[in-house]
Amino acid sequence: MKVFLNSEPLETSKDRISEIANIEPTEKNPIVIERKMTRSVLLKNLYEIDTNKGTFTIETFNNRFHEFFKENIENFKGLEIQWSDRNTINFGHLPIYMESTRKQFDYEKYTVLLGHSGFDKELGILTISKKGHIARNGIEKSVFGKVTKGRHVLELLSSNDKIEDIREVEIKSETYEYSVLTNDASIEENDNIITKSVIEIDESCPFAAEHFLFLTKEGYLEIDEKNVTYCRNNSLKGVSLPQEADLERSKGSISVRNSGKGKGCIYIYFKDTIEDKSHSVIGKITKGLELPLNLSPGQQFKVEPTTKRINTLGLTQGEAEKITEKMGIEHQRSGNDDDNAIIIEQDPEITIDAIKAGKITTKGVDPALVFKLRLFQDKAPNSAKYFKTISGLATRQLGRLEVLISHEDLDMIMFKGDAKLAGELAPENPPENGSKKGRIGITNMASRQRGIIGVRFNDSSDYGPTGEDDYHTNCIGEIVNYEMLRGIKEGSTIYLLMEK
Amino acid sequence: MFKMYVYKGGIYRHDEIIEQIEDLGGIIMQKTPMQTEIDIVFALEEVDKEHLEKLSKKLRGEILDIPFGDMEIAIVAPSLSRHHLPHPVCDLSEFLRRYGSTTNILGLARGYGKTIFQISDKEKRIISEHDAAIFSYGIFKECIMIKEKEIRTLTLPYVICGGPKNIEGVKNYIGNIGRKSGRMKSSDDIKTLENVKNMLLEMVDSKREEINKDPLISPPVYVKRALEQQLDLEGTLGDNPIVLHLDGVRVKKSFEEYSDKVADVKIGDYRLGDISTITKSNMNDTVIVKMRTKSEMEAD
Repeated sequence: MKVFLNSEPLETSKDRISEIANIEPTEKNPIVIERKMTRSVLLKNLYEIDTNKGTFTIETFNNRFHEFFKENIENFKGLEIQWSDRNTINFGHLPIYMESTRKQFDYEKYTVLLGHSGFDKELGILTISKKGHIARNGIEKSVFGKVTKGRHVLELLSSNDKIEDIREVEIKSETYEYSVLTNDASIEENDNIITKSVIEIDESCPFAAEHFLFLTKEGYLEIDEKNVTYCRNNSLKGVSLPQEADLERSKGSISVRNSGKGKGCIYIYFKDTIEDKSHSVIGKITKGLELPLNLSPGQQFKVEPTTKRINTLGLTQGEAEKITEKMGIEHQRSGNDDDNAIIIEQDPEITIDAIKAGKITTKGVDPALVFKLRLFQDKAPNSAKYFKTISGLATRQLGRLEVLISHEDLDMIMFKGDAKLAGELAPENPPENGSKKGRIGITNMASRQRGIIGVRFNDSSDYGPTGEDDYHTNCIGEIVNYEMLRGIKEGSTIYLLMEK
Repeated sequence: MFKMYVYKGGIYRHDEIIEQIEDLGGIIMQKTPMQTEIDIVFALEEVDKEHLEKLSKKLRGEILDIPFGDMEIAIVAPSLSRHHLPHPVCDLSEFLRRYGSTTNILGLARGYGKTIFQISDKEKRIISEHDAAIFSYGIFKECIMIKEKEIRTLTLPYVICGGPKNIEGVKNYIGNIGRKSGRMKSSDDIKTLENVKNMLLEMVDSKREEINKDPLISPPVYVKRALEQQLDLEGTLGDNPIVLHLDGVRVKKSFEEYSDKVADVKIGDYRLGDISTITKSNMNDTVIVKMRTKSEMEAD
């Protein structure tokens, strides 16, 4: 049996999806089957008329003049322009045996009609009206069509030009039926199993592309919202991005919003849309757009970007070596170049720049200098999201925090936050029975100092990690090796890794 | 195809409406904040309206159609004298503006009198620069019948208004708008104005359909935005330097000074001068840009 797997033909004797595609669809992660339905040919009253100056299209109405035109279409081919003026173009001659009249009639712009030249039935003409006019054309109300396309050609036609060909336009339509499968089902011959979307990454918006590549590092993209124009993923909503090149959002384009409340959201477009400064277009789905088109919010699909992400932050120098070797990119070590050293800086940090340069330099530090982190995602989801956004853990493996206040006499350390972003940080997960040492606290929107992040070195029954009382503190996680935070100076940066 | 709408709602969270219009590929034309309220005029494809309405309902706002929002309409009176102006003409003009239109009142040079009525070629060309026209022809039946013949060659959608209720043989005619001694504000008068609007709307819709069959290379709203951004022609509340037409735009700047600048504006991958015809207006020293069609560009 012949089937298609992601539009590639495949001969197989099996009929179950799991056997053919090595994938078992689930409710969360379904696949789409494309099935070609009956072919239908729609015939509209459309004719393309080729002249030596270009082609124009006429749409006809059903009347006896149209019948005449259709029956004698071969005789109309080769007719030359007999005369043209500011109102009409007249092709002739051919016999039209219809009743002649000397009455005058109104003709609208771009109408197509039959007439008698000199009221002689032997000298029939095909007239095209270039503008609204009143005339005696020899046949009563003989309009049978209108020029709908290529009207500019009418202005180009003059004496000695002629009709080269007349074709009936056939609109063929092949309908496809798409079904979303959430379990392992059998398929029929010629079915196309669509399991993934292939994405070609554009180089014009490197920061937005990095954002997208981080989100899809596991190989899947979830749909959170959907309408006729686009579907959207909100996982990284709120993450700031610079404004980059504004490109047209054509069908299949993927863009990242770079301003407003929806910044950081990812959009997949289902129809051509104009460019906008708020959207950075990162690439286009070249195969498998049927997946986001047919899936519902809450479901996810497999994505395969043509560009692989290169980001070694948080990895060891040894691991980075293996990755760069596999990708054919030169790797240079700096700082601590031991195999186990943790990478805290990569130059260039952005994938597209790194691929262009063909080389990356990684700066390593002793693993003991990188802080291990546990986040209470379930208890304080909004605050954890805020922390990830501020530290950069939302889009990288390695987080960074800038020290705001630190002093040897102070029993805690505080880090810079973003008061604007913390404006919507409602109280959640307050410290219970006092603040424990090593816990990370954030001052919530109830306080003027909202957004500040802090860690205590000793337990306190009165105040939270940022020096606020319990009501103003959201407890979002803990630092495992917090003791090493003592002695870190104001203005310096600390590096964080999520505990595996 | 883009259609024009206006969002009327509170200023609170109106940025969400703007963001969604941008996401859906719409264009913001004008924002008018009024204390705690805001009016946002925007162009959006018709299919996307439903999605935006969900958000607007949530914010207790409303989205209204402005069917003439992308049109410049000529209101033509036989003369600019007290005899033919002001009430019916100004009322028509004011009424159409409520539906988003930009209206220009024109008085003919030799338009008065039954037997001596004339409309010059230049006047016809001025009227044809507009997307539609309304002729306000007074109260005499014979007079209207004679004057109607003179404008039959016009190819733009037009409505003739006059006093008699019906006149046989006169196309696109609406009665009960003859000589008026006061403002048209009674319910009957408003109904008549509605009839004018509906008749014009029907004709304009078929013109839009025609344009849709042989679409323009770039929608005029998009050209307007590009001109505003690249030539720094953002309008103020009192002055709108770029007026939308169904098939292009009018740039209200000196032709001599601006025609080359307008031609050099980038529209996507194209230069505006290559995808449009740029001419000097017959009416005043402004620039008329008429977009070419996709089929015309393909033929090139």
